[in-house]
This record gives sequence, structure tokens and C-alpha cells, in this order.
Amino acid sequence: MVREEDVKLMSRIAIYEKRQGRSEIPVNSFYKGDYVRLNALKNVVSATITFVLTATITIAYKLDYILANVLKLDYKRLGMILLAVYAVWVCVYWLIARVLYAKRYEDARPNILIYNHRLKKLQEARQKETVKAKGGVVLSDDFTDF
Amino acid sequence: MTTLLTFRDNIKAFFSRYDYIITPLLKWLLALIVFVTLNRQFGYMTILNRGLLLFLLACICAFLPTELITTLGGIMIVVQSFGVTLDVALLSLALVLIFYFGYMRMVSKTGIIVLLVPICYAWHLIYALPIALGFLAGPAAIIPLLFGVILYYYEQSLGDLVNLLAASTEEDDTIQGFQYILNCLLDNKLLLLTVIVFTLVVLVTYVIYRTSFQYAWIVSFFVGGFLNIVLFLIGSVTLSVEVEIGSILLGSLVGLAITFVIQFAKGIVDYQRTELLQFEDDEYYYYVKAIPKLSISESNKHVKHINSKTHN
Repeated sequence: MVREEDVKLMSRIAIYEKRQGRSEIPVNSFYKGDYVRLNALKNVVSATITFVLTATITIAYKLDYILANVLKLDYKRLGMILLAVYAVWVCVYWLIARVLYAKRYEDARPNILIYNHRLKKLQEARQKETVKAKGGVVLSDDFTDF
Repeated sequence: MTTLLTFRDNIKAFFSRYDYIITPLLKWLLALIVFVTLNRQFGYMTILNRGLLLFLLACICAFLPTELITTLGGIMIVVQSFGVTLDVALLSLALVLIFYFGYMRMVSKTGIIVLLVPICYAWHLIYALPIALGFLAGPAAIIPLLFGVILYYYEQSLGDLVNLLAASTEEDDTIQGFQYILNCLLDNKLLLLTVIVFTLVVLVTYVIYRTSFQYAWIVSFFVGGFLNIVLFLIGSVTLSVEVEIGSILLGSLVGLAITFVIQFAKGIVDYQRTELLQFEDDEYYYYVKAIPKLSISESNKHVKHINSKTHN
């Protein structure tokens, strides 16, 4: 039998899953620290790729100069500069990612709580239906609900 | 003012009711405008300059996330660059990848701004964009806005390079293409000035717009527009760049008018959508159409008397 209350609940759950839930539900499987660290790490990889591409373009642009001074260049100093720039670059990305993903986690939490609460309510309604169908007695436990 | 607000509520109600048609339609239109503009500006590969192909691509984008328009736009730029020289195509690929890994991986939704900049340049609405982005997207819009400005000048340099290559008779200018484009971008003081001015305008507009005093939004628009004009003037003197003062003045004024329209229309976007849902449980398949409850404005309320007697 189709119950109106169940359809309403399922519709609200489906709307959430279709919209914000797509990006927010995966967040639920992580602790905040793990979620932020994982995404910060992913962004460090992205920052590295961006840095390599920028460095490649710069080297290709300065190729004539590099070839003309191939024996005169101080490679140790150049390497140190490159490393320092890379370290700053990655640190900036890492910091931005930490702030951004911490905010995303906090923003997603209230919605996920409501979503979980609706799922729980639906599950309970279904269990009551099953008990009733088998001839059992359902005790009202509404006072424990929030 | 009340009439305007009622008008806005009516539009909002209309959008809310027919969202499942309007959203794909708007996405399709946006995708079509982006692809047509890109192909007009980067029209170096004849294979991509076919109306039917662009139409079909826009149709695909209509039913998929907006990020796809940005991705397809990026691919289009790279493919079009292959029509110039191989090294320019590789440079385009590198720039697109830098934008993707440097920005889109983190904040994908605002990535579309990068492709809106060339459109705004083509429609002479570029001075409205930083003010509008200042209150619509905030500092997150700065990076795609700057990439968009670079994209516009990149496209101009590419046009110059193509003319240069067509005029030259030498065969060995593959390396020169890459160098030429980068030289054009790095030596372009107007590009530098635009980047600085737009960054400041977005930041200042955003900060003032977010403050709590009354009419902060109006002040933010005027300050944004004023900064646009003044900073371009100061920059043109300091950096010895030739800027079209008349176009900046007119552009900023038109920009101001447009931002007021956008601010008015901003409330429309925040509506509850009509949802078409499909789900199932152990016993049934459900096909649900959830329509939001709407409050009808006073002027739109029609009372129909179904009894013929008049009431005294």
C-alpha cells in the first residue's frame, strides 16, 4: 500500500540526493580532519602539475638564452630558487585547500544531518508497517524523536 | 517599486513552475553563445566552424552540468589552436591545463566566467563584469576573470600571429609562434593594467557590498564603477598606455545600469524548483512531480464568482 507520508519523505530524500546530495553525501563518509587532509593532498598534486606546466612554459620561452649560456649558468642556485618557489606555491595551495574544504565540510553537515534523520524516519515507518502487517503491536516512541 | 517587486515575484513563480524546461533552455543558450563566440574569435579549424556541430554540442550541454561548457570551451580553444601552429596548440593546451588544475579542480562552478570575458568584450560589456562579479561571486571570481582577460588578449595575439605567418614566406617559424604569443602577452601593458584594475574593482565591490550599512549595495556599485574609470585613467598615465577614455566612461555607465538590473534579478534565481523524481521501494516504482507552493502576489489574484447572485 502506498502511504502518503512515506512518499513525501522519499520525495524529500530524492530531491536532496538529486541536488546538493551529489556533492555532500560523499563528505559524510569522512571525519572532518581526514576529509580536509585528503582534499588538501589532492590539491598539492594539482599544484605540482600547475607548477611543472608553468616552469615548462618559462623554460621553453627562455630556451634561446638557456642554450646560449648553457655552460655559464649556476645550476645549483637555479635549482634552489626553483625549489623555494615550488615550496611557497604548494604551501599557498595547501592553505587555501584546507580553508576551503573545512568550510565545505561544515556547510554540508547540517544538510546531511537532516538527510540522515529523514532516512531514519522512513526506515522506522517501514519497520512499523512490517510489524503491523504481521499482526504485532507497535508502541509509539514519538517522545524520543526530535 | 511595489509593481517591480510584484513583477519579479511573478517571474520567480514562472521560473519555479517551469524550471525543468527553462534551466536546460538557458544552459543551451549559454553554451551556444559561448561556442559561437569562441569559434568566431578562434576560427582557425574549419572542421569546428559548423553550425550543426555547435548546435549539437550546446544540446548536450543543456542537460549536463555547467562545468561541461567550460571543459568543452577549453577543448575547443586547443583544437582551434592546432589550426595555427603546433607549438601554439601546445601552449594553448598548457594554459588550459594550468587553469583546470590550478582553479577548476577546486572551484569548478565559477570556471565559466573565463569564457564569459571574451563574450563581454565582443558585446562591449566588459566594464560591467568586474562590478557584477564582485557581488555575485566575490573573490573566487578573480582568477577566472583574469584568465578570461588573458584569453581575450591571447586570442588577439593569435590573430596577429596568423596575419604575420600569412605575410611571411619563411617555413621555419614554428618556434617564433610560441615566442611571439608570449612576448605579446608579457609586453602588453594594457593587459597588465586591466588585470590590476579588475582585481581591485572585484575586491572593493565585494567588501562594500558585504558591509551592513543601509544601501551598501548601491554604494558598492557606484564605487566599483568610479574605481573602474579612475584606475584606468591613472594606469594609462602611469604605464603610458593608450586607453579609450570614452569607451571606458560609457562602458562603466552601461555597466552600472546592468549591475542594477542583475541585482534586481538576483532574487529570481533563488527559487524552489519543480522536481521530477523517480525512485522505487520493494513494492512500487514512483514517478513524482513535486511542485513548490507559491505565494501569489496581490495584483495577480483573480476572484471568480461562480454564483450568479450579486452580494449586497
